[in-house]
Amino acid sequence: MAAPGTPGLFPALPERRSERAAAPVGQPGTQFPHRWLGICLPQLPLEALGGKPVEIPRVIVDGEDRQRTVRAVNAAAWRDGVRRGQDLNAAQALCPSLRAEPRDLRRENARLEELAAWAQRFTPWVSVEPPASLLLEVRTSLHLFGGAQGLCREAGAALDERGHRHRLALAPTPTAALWLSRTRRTVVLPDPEQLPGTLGRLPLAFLGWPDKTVSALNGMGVYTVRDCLRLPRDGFARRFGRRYLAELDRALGRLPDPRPSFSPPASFEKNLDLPAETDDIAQLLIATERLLESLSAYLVARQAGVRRITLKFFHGDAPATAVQVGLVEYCQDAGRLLALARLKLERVVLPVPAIAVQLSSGSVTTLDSPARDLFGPTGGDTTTLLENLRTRLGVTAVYGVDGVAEHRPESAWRQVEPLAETGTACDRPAERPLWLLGQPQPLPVRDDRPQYDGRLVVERGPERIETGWWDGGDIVRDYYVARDRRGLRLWIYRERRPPHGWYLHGYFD
Amino acid sequence: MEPTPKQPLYELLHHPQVWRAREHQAQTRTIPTGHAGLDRHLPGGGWPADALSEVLLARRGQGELRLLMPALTALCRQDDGRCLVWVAPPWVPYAPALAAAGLDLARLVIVHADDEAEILWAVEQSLRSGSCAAVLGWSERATVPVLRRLQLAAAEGGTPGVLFRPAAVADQSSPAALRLLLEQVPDGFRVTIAKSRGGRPVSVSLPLGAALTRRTRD
Repeated sequence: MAAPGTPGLFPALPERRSERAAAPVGQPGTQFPHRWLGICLPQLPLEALGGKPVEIPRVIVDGEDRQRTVRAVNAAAWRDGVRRGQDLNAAQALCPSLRAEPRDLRRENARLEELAAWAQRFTPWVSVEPPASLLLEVRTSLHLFGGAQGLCREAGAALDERGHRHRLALAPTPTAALWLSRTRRTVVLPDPEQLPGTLGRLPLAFLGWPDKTVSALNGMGVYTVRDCLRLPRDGFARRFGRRYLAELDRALGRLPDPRPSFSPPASFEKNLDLPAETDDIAQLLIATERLLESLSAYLVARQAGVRRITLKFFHGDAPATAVQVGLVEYCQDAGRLLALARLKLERVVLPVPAIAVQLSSGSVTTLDSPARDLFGPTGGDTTTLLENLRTRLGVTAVYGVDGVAEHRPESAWRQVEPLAETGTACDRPAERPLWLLGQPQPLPVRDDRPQYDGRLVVERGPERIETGWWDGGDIVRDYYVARDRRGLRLWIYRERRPPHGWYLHGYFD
Repeated sequence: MEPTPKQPLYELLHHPQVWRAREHQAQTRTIPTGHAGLDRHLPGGGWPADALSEVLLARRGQGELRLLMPALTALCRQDDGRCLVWVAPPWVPYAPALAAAGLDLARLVIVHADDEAEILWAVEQSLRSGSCAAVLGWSERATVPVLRRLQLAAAEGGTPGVLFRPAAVADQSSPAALRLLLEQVPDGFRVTIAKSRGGRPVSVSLPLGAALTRRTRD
């Protein structure tokens, strides 16, 4: 403990300790009501540009033509001695095969926001801290993950899985969490008492202050936070600006440190460049899967689901190919969406190879209840079956039927959503055929009698149906039940209007 | 007397490719067809409940629904809410008549498919999902490998499947558990059991439909 008792003008900490001791335990608004998890992504500039072969030495560079400095280094380049902060020319001298790519801040931010949406599974309060950090307020969710170590382990494993190099730090203030997350190892600092001591050992380079400020302080013999705290407050503020003084105060919890909470955009849209131009379905599915996993993370964070997604394949010059996937009910599960997308993509023929894929979610709806029942009312999953059928055959190809209270036979039924509640408004006294022909079939007539593969014998009739004058679809028909020479029962009718044609309209069996 | 392990007959009888009718009969789960005359001749007394059945028709719309309707309405009375899937019916299944015959329309799912491959795909998906009370399909050109797939899907999903095929395929072999030939006769239908597991071929005349109306001659 260095800060207390030193002649610096920062208030010494023991006084604060006594203040806190006076406050009732557990009272809301005590000094450190929060625990912040800082996540630093040192390789974000590389990772945001997508997966490329790791054996090629790559760096991401920053700055103008003449003064380009290395911002991020992949493992192959690191082995050749290339380091962050080097001049590009120096780096190329160390490693002649080095491939340098300009930094893409837009993509870095997009990736960071995507990770923020994903991180909302740990806590509702996530703050995006450009250029490469996230802050999560985790005090209330710590116990869900078995404490600080458990949370760090879980978050670390999930980040590994997503291919992100990361450093984590847990601290009582957001600024401290941010600073400590930039160090090389995972720091867990739950106790506010340890804050000045641990922060004190931190070199100024980890504070993210401008190089000019840091080198000026270093020139004065000030190398660590502890050195800084020994300086007189007003002098420090005058020379380096109030901003840095306030930052130190926030890090130690002496000033409030509000952070904006990240809220994900209202709908999801993401692009992915393909590693090479391709029309290979397997490659496209791999890209689609990655996009769907992002979508799923986004939806889980919002406790929301989609009923329609659109995949767009870009082809350079040719217009993009759009593929829509619809669902019967709202879904947030990446595996389910992928299975449907696969069914759809297997039947899509791209005119030319694609260079990029875009996934957009359309409207997103909050799910009130869990998306699926644990034990559904049916043995298997009817919804899944209907979605599979609809995805391959088309939405209109799968339907239910219902009766309609209507005298015209062709209007006495309608298509409905499958498994919808049916009204069954069809209590008819007369017998109706089980099969109805979509289009009545004209019957040949011989000796004034209708023929169907021979002579027909009328069993019952006529039943006169005369209706529909109000909507222009009026019919005037006499219906008969007839039997052909093999015994097949037919539903036939005769037009009452000239030319009095005979028609077959249904089969009874 | 049962042969002992050392004897050649024992080996033969316990060879995995040797199928003995009596081993299977007891295991068959069935759904009564609702036609007493037919049930009497079917192994287990009805449609096999987790296998594929074939019904061969000279022409479509010739009694296949009349044949199936008692079993389908019985399935609708079970309160498991499972659906009946009809893939590629030849004409419009007419809702007023189906409801009057006792079918629960809310459970009926019609699947329209254009080509043969899609019809069989839809039948297979529905059978395999295990979420259907029964799956009916109208197919023109199913091949033996496809039928085998459907048979496996039905067994996997524990779902009865009925595939309607043209009578012309009667001389081809089939992996289906049950094969019926349905013919129109002047006063009803004749059902021939062409193949059944553990049963023997037999013809049964059923007064389907005919009982409902009196035939008049002029």
